[in-house]
Order: sequence, then structure tokens, then C-alpha cells
Amino acid sequence: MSSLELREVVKHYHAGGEPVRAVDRVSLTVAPGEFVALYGPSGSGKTTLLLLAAGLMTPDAGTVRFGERDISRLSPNDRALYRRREVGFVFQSFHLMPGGTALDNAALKLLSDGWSMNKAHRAARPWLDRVGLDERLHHKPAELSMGERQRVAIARALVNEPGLLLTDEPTGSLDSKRGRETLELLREICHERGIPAVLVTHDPQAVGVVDTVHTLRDGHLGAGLDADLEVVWK
Amino acid sequence: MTRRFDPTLRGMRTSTLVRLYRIRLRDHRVQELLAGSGIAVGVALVFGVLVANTSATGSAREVLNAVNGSAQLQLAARSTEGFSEQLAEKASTLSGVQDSAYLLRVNAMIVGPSGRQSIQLVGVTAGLIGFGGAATQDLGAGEAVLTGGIGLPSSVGNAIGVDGGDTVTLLAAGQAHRVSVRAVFNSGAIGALAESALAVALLPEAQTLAAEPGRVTQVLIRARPGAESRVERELRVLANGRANVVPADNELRLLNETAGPTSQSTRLFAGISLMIGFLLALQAVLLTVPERRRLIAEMISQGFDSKQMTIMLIFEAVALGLGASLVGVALGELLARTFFAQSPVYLEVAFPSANISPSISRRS
Repeated sequence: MSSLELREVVKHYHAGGEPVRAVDRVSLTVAPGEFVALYGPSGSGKTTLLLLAAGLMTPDAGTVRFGERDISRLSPNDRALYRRREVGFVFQSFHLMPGGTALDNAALKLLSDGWSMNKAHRAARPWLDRVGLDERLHHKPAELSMGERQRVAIARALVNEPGLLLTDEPTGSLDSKRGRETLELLREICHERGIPAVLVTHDPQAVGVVDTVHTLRDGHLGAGLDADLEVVWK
Repeated sequence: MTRRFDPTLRGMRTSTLVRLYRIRLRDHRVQELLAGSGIAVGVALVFGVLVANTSATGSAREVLNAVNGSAQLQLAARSTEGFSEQLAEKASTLSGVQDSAYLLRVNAMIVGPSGRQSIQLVGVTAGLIGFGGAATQDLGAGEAVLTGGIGLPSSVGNAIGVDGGDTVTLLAAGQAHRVSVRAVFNSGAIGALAESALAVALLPEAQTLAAEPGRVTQVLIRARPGAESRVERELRVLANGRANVVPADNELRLLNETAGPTSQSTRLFAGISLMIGFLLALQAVLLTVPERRRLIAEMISQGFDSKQMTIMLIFEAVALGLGASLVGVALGELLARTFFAQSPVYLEVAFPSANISPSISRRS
């Protein structure tokens, strides 16, 4: 199993002509089987860090390694291949195909890799069973609850048996109970499969679920939870 | 077990592209229908007007070819009074002339039990058969068939309600004549000519009816091989300003020129139609741009690369375009047969003997 390793990563944006350091010399290692949460206020650079880890962005400085490979040095096609075969990505807003069934959506990732739809359906089915949607396979997103939609997105992220799980506010659209269930499911999968997982979140209940907590503020990473965040949640 | 043909495009199976498009269609029926309608309407209008326009002159070409056959040149009258038959005889006896036929064409009105119709009375000689035109081949026994009367195309016969053996009134040169209809020819006998507004008689009969004894308006000529230029020169000398020496299909050339304004207007109409179709399709595309962007971003995050996304979008555009175009062609055919199957009145008046009504398909 591989670990995710970010070293001295810097990423700038330009806002209104001014450069903004979204991520400033961040170093982070996520070991296999470790479930890490990144906390921080909006605009602190959490999602940017996740996009860098997924190869959807390249850093201005520093390295992003997964196992032996420096993701930031891969070609765009190789980065697409990396996402296709090694990364599972879950978003807050699910981004499911509205016209597809739960099975179609869960199988989506495999289609980019030359799988037939039927074969991809067969591969996706156990994952939908795993997230408790075995009786909702042929339902479209509009016919599913928010929690069920999020679980379809989780099944889709896992269908390629990824080596790295990245989740961006996966509980943001869920009520507290469903949010807790989702976090526990993610932890269970991370531990069970021994893969590194990164969770970007505002959800206070994640503290009790993840293995490690980091806080991002103005692009800087700190260990543990900021005192003011703890106060707000308490 | 047989393997289904399912080629891959940049690592994606064609069947997958089809399935993804079906998934999209399920949720975007209205937008796709709007875009498809835009394309179909544009294609239908463009196809319809172009087919109708082309087939109008195409029909005229078919009719003229059916009569003129292999004739290359004609001596054509400069006015409705025509020229003398002696001039025609001299033209026919030029050494380079292989075949010739005289015609007299005068405007007339024919009246039958069911109505009346403006026609062109065409007087012909047996020489016309020699040109091998499709419409004249069954007139081999023409002299016997037409002697003492006229022959009518089925369209005229139907319009005025007469059949072979009936009697009609023919109004020509200010005179009314009771004339026997010796035969009504359908398209099986005279091809596209069956749709033309004319009546055929033997030349002497036509000259009598038109009060033009000894006059003809046209001599069709086929020159011997290699003698074409010489015959043309000799004809010009012979005509000496009394008649025009022009190609046998000159009427068609005139028709094309005269139909120019109609062609321009149909081209303009086709252009406007295309623009309407484009705007409808664009509107449908714009409606789905935000959703499309989200989907593309999502698919890229799931490992699709940009070329795969391009292929998917092109596939969907081609599928929609092809499907809508097929519907458009079918609609265009329908439009060409119905709404656009009218030719301008000025053309019908100017070229009564040429069938300029669009013939989208041959009637049996």
C-alpha cells in the first residue's frame, strides 16, 4: 500500500490581479489506512490541497507523491490515468448523472477505462450493496434521498478499488445522523482496505471519527484543531 | 460465443458512448428535442426548397429532352408568327443535316365538359420520332392516331374531363373550333410530358386550327457527325435574320435564366431557414451549458481525460445531428411535395409546354 506525501507544496491564485497563496509550503503525509481530516474556514486552501493530491492541479512549488510517483510531474494524460485507476474522489454535491440509475452512476469511472457498461455494472453492484443501496440500484438520483445520493457517490469513488480516497465535504448536504453514518462508512472502508484517506470538512463530528486532524488557515497547515474552532463547535 | 463489434475510441467503447448518450437523453429530453427540432427544421426547409427548385427545372429538362431527343440545333421563330415552311424545307435539305422535324407552337385555350385550360397547341411532323425522344416513341403510328384531331396529355384530359373520342372546343387565333380528341396519353406513353399543358396535332391540322397555313415556329435539327459547325454556319446564312439559330435546348437555358429570381429567393429562404435552425439549436445548447460544465468537471475528476470528453461531446453532437437531419430530410421531402410544389405563375405562362411543376417523384 502507498502513502500520500506532500512536501513544501505551494499554490498561488490570482484574484483581482493580486497573487493569493492558497497553499503555502504545506507538508503532509497520510499513511496507508490512515483517515485524515483537514479543517479550516472557507478559503483556507483545503479544497486546493485536495485537488493537488488528485492531480487536478499542479503545484507551483514542492512535490505531491503517491507511492513512488511524483504526481505533479506526470503528463495530463498520466494524471487522468492516475485519477482513473488510483484515486477515489467524493464531492459534497455528489455530481451524479441525473438521467442515470444508481448503478450507471456508480459504474461511471470504469467506462473511461474501456469497460463495457454491463461489466462495469457488475463491478459496481457489490459496492452499492456495501453502502446499503442494494435495493435502490435502478433508482435515479431524483428518486434517492440526499444520504443515498452521497452513498452512490462513495460507491462510484470506490468502484475502481482506489489506492487513495479523497473526500471534499462529503457530509455538507446531509443531516447530522446521515453525516455521521457517512463518515463512519468512509473510515471503515479506509481501515478495512488499508488505503490513505483525506477528508476536507467543516463537520465537527468528524473529529471523533478520523484518525488525525489538521487545520488549514490562510494556506498554512497546523497539527490538531485550532482552539477557536473547538470553541465554536462546543 | 460471438464477440459483438464494439470498437474503442480513446479507450472508451462505442457502446459506452451510446449508453451515456441514452442516459443524457433520459434527463434532457426537452433540450435535446429543442436542439434536434432546430436542426430538423433548418434541414427540412433547406432541403424542401432546394428539392422543389431543382426538380422544377429538372422536370422542364426532362420534358424537353423527351421531345427533342438527340436534336442539337433548332431554327426558332423570332415571333409567334413563325416563319415559312419553305425556309424549314431548305434547312432540312442542307447537306450536313441528318434528321429534321418541323413544329408549330401557338398558345390556345381548350374547353371541355369539366373546365378549360390554357395550353400550347403543338403541330408536329413524323420527323420528330427520328430524334428518339422518350415522349415520341409511342407516336410511331402518330399520323394514324392524330389524323383529324388532337392528342392530349393525361393532365389536360383530366383537367377538362375528356377522354379519347370526346370532342372539345379549341380557341386559337380568335376562332373556336370543335376538335375531336383522338387520344389521351398518360405518363406510360409520353413520360413527363403527360404533366404538360399542351395539345398535339399533326402540323397541317395545327396550322389550320391556328390560322397559320404554311407557317412553322421551330425546326429541330440533328447534324451528321462532324458536320455540326458547318450546319450551324449554313443555317445562319439561310435564316438571314428571319429566324434564330440556337441550341435545341435553348428553351431550358431561357427557363434557367428566367427562374433566376425564384432561385435567388429560395436561396435566401434556405439561408434564413438555416439561421433559424442554428438559433434554435444554439438556444438548446446554451440552456444546458452550466449543467454540461458540471458534468465535464465531474467526469474529469473521475479519470476521464480531455480527449475522451471531446470524443463524447462530438459523438453526442453527431448522433443528434444525424438523427435530426434524417427527420429534416423526411420533412423536407414532405414540404417539397406539398407546400413548395408550386411554380411561379410567370414561369407557367412563359413556358407552357415545359413541365415546370416540381416532380419530386415519378407518378405511375
